[in-house]
Amino acid sequence: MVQAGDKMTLDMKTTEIRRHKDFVAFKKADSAPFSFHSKNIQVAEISDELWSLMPISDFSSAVPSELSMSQDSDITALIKAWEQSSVLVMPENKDHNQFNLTLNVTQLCNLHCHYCAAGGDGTYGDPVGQISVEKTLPQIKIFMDRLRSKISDHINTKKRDPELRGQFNITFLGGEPLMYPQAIQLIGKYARDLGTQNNIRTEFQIITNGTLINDQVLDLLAPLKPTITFSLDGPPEINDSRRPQKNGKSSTVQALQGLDTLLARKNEFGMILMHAVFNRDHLDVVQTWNFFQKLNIDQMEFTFDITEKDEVANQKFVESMKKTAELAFAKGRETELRRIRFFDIYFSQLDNPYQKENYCGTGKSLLSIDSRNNVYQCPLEVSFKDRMIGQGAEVNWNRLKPLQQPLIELNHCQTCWARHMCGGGCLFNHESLTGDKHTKHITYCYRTRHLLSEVFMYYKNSRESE
Amino acid sequence: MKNTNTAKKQTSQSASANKNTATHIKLVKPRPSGTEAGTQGPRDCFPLG
Ligand code: SF4
Repeated sequence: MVQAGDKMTLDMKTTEIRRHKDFVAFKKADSAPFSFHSKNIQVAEISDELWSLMPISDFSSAVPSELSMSQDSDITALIKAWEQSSVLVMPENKDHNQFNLTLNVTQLCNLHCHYCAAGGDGTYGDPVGQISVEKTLPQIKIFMDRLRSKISDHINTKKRDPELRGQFNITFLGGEPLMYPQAIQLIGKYARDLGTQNNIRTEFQIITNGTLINDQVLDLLAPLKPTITFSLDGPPEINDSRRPQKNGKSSTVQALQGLDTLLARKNEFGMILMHAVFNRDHLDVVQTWNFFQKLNIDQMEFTFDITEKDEVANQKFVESMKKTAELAFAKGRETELRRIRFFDIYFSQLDNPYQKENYCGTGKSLLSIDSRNNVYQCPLEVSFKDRMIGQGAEVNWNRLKPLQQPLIELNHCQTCWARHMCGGGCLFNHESLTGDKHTKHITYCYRTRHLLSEVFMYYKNSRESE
Repeated sequence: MKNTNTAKKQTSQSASANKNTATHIKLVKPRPSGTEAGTQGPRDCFPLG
């Protein structure tokens, strides 16, 4: 357990940060400075001279410092030229043609993970063995009809391509969703057929502990070609203490057997991911990466526990992520680095720039259904009955009105240089740390900004500059 | 006459700004991939434990 003030190998001085309005620059010891323009979503190498003129900032601050105009006028002129000359980068807008749904097909689980976000035992305080498929199908129909009419409105008002295709994604959650794979099969098939009739593409994801995967289960799932995400925290010595079975025994052996069974049929499925969660009891991302990178998986995701606000633990996580990125890049440059999903997502945004305005689709393009067919605006709110916005086919759409503005505005992120990459952060995370969903905890912003500076550095090292 | 001068001035200013820009700021060239929504897997939310 990490105590505040613990001095263990903290080395956060290695990246310096400077800022002039929307132009932010970083320097690591012994290497050239580089910068990011937060509206233009561009990365650049900059001269030492320019770096030396920029006002010092810090990773905990969103206050935009400014170069005084009396300083080298050529330099201020060229920053202005960069600001003004760049191609206009548009805000991302997927509300009109994309919808994401999470579905708890069961609220039972065969494991007992110590940090479980679903009430500590996968039940959200309400153990339900099986979702009602009959009640779920009309819900899918309503959400898809709604998406279809949003697309039509968009085509009519914005005079867009009448063939504009929609995207409807379903993530199956639990509990452990593979305790009820028949529901995934039936609901998935219904959604796919309905999507085909409506020119809407459907994609599926299953988040599982992997222990129940076998060929019979895979036969049911394969027609949907779902992405499979395993929740696993690392090698057995780590994972078994954090994610044991209900009887306290190891779950890792079964999960890895499940992975082997899946890998033998990899071409029948979408991406295969590993997802690990870190908190004060587990901060060694390097160790987890070392274990994951030898598995034949497509990507891995490292998340810091949304209820953890220990600043020292947060710093250690950031340090370990940085070290992991260094090792991954040394092993296989961009390809290996982008197996870490965080880097993949942001490399993709820098290659195809847009201004992110919403961390996630909550209130706009995301809804969640629990195993009693109650509807919520976020999968993490499922346990809070007062957050319910609907039941079955009845949804009170007015409850979503307060979230119609971009999250970066609602969360007061307008002066943060990271806003168009971060999108204002996770409301549930903010609320669990500060008591208010629109007030960020410093650990969140600090972590996001540090990790983004790593993205910019490796991006610069992976692309040509001119 | 006035207009021409202004234009000239602007041209030489921007030439010097360009030269300066090249000296002090080298933009990293993106490699657009034409990714469509959804190609990274259907995910709209990160922090699920
Ligand atoms: S939540 Fe994200 S965008 Fe908002 S201030 Fe924090 S890092 Fe910046």
